[in-house]
Amino acid sequence: MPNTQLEQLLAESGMEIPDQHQVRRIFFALTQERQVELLDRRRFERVVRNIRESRERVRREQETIVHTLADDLTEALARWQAQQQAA
Amino acid sequence: MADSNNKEFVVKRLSKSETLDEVHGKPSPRRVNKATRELLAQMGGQEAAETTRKLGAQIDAEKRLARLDKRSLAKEVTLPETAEAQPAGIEAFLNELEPEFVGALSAEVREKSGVDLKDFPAAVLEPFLALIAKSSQEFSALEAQHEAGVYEVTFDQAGAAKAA
Repeated sequence: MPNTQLEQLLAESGMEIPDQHQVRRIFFALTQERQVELLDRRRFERVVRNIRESRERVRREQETIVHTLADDLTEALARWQAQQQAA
Repeated sequence: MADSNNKEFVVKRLSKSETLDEVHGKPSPRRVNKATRELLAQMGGQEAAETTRKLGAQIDAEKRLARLDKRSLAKEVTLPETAEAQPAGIEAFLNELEPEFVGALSAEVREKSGVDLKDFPAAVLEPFLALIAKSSQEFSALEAQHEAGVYEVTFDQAGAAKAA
């Protein structure tokens, strides 16, 4: 029964699949008493909110890393191409 | 019996050191938060040991990344000297990095410049190799930190009723 409840909460959570897998894994490592506590809707919603915020933060930071590097590489390539044409 | 011994061991080691890594015999400055420690202390022996192992694995992953970062930055990143060998050298270098990072970077570079990252002239790419390697590690470290955070926040909420 707690498993069904967990699956329902996970399906409603909007969390990414790898994050859902992680929550599922840790859920099964808990005692039955702890599982029931975690399935409290308000408490579970707090977990979901925190995980989603963390995921969004990580995504933004990863995108910044990629954007910055891609800009630098593109500029360097443009400079090199201009030099080649000038030569 | 084995379970109660196990539990005692975990609780004793955690209360002494307050680090999960020391339970694994690996000293580390990384500390787990109070709620996680309390929850582990209240768990059954086998469960606590298993949970500790999983948390430890997450932390180990972060440390491995940190070590990898230092190693890759410490060694000078160079490409083969001959022009013929350079494309293969660039590809081999990119293959060593985090695939998700390489995928995202390649897609964005291709979109902005119209050139595939692996086809970049070595003269352009070479000054960036150390920065690319470092960025790949930072990209992975963010993911590892997030994963460790998922464990901690889930534990916190599972133990919130007892702590309150």
